[in-house]
Amino acid sequence: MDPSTGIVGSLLHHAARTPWRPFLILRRGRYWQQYSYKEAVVETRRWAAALRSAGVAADQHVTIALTHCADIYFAFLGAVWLGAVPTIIPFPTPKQDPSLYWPEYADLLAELRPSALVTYADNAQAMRQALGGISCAVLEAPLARSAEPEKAGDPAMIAAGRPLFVQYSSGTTGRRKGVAPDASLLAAHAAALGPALGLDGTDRIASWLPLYHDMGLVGCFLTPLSFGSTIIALDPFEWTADPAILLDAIERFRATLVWMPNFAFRHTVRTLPEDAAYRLDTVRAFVSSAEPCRPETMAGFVTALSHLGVRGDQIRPCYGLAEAVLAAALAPPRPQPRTLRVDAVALEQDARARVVRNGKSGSRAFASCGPALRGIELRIASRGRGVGLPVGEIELRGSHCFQGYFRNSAATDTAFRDGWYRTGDIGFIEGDELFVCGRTKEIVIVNGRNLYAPDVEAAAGEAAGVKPGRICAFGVEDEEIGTERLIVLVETADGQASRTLIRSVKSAITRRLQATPHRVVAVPPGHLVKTTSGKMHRAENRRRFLQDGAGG
Amino acid sequence: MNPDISGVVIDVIAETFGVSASEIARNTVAEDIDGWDSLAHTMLMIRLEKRLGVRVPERVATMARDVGALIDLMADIMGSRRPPP
Repeated sequence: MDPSTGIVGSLLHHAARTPWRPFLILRRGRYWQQYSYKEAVVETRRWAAALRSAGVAADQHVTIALTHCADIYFAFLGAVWLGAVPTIIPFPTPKQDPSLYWPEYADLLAELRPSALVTYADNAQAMRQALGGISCAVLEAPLARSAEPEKAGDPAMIAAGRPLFVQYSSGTTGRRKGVAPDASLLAAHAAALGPALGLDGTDRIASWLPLYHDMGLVGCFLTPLSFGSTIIALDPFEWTADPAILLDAIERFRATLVWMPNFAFRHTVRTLPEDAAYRLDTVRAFVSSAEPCRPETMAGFVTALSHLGVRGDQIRPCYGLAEAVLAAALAPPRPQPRTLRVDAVALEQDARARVVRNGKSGSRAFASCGPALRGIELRIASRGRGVGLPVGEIELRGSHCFQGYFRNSAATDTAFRDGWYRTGDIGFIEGDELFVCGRTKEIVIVNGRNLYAPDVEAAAGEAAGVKPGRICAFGVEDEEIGTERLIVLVETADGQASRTLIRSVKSAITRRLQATPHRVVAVPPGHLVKTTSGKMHRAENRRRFLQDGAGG
Repeated sequence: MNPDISGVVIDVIAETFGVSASEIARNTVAEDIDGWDSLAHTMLMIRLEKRLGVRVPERVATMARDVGALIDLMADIMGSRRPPP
């Protein structure tokens, strides 16, 4: 892809070369909507025309809050057509009250100062209130048929260095950090990832991932678009309730590529119908990213789905992060994902990875995420000593590493060390291959989403009967569900928790973070340990929680 | 309502989440049970479908209600089920 042409350039290029190739095949209940590349240009121009007539101009921001639908793709592309900067934000789930949900986004909306909102008519009022005094046009989806594509004008030329879009991490107020790649960063990423995955226009990418997440937006929308591939899109909520719809989509459209977080491999296995009969051998790669790739989960997936044509060589662990657009390292195709087993004591006490033989007790297995993608350099910042490979924070730099967070100089200042981005993840490098073992940041990854422990605690602190500042949130690995369990300890006056209190803590967290804690546990006053500097000592509280046998 | 369906639903919830059936009542909601999130809810619905021999068309929509509503929904689906042709 030529960096100067950007996203819209790719769309026009492929629409000229392969006009009738499907750009998007979208599942809507029992039906499938299909848009060829030629039709995608028309829909994009319709949205561009509508945004333009609403007063949106180059460099202005457009905030998109929609559920799974075709308009989310074309509103995004329509904004880029004008040189405007779109941001897709999560739409409240049916369990979330919009009048309580959108105020949580007031800070983000104030930071973006969008010129236009794209949402549904029945959501517009709640979002307008969250905008406060910001004057902003509201465009309702689906777009009225009266929007005329010819009024879109010519696509804007977007200069290097200008953001193409803004994508936020899942943190809440004050901790959300936006990345805003420009065309050259996106092109460098595509140029590195494309050959590593063998991407081309004949690929068909099946996905249920939401587009506010980097793996959905970049992996399953913008990267396929840059190669002229076909996107097969499913509703994340429908997939959660019935994961076999992904297998159906793979077979129906002979999908070649699937991106999923680790938990999704596990969820697919756990919910696999006994009479499942799908053909999955068309898939060249199931890429596992966005949360630690667990060797047991990947092996279990291959075993459980082998009768459907799933093989070990299809599984490709990937180290991805929005700060590197999406992918920083990717395992090469191998008969099975490569794993190394290291001594657990040396890992935890000496920060050293000492490789041990399979089956040795007191060892932990980690999957190789492969070498860094072209243009990316990785290094380990380790203070450990002794025999073995150094274990420490993974740092990266290179042609598709970002330069800083969007309008957040405080976060940017602490993000880099000597020009290297400090990822907050812990790992080691063996040969040239990266193994990820944990993280330093106070992040719990639940179902592929990063939750910041302080955010969870702040949300829990809003519940009646809970003392703010006397709450501790952390994650506990759970191989059975293939992700982390979110545990929240709360101090109460008598160390007991009423049903009402637990309900209100869980509801408060769900409302703000779209994630339900696995467990809320009451502890007596003074139980929670703080560091000498008065911060919540999550590692120690977690250790004591597990030691007390409360982890079951 | 068929009392058997109520018992089956409560038993399956108890098995799925590793709690005692005596802790579950009609007014129990997902927040009262450790681990009852949207993924676990799918597991629960699959187990209920298997145990009761039904297919729930809107697995996801059943999440927002309480156990009583889930029992009533299952009873409705059982009641409207026709024998296979």
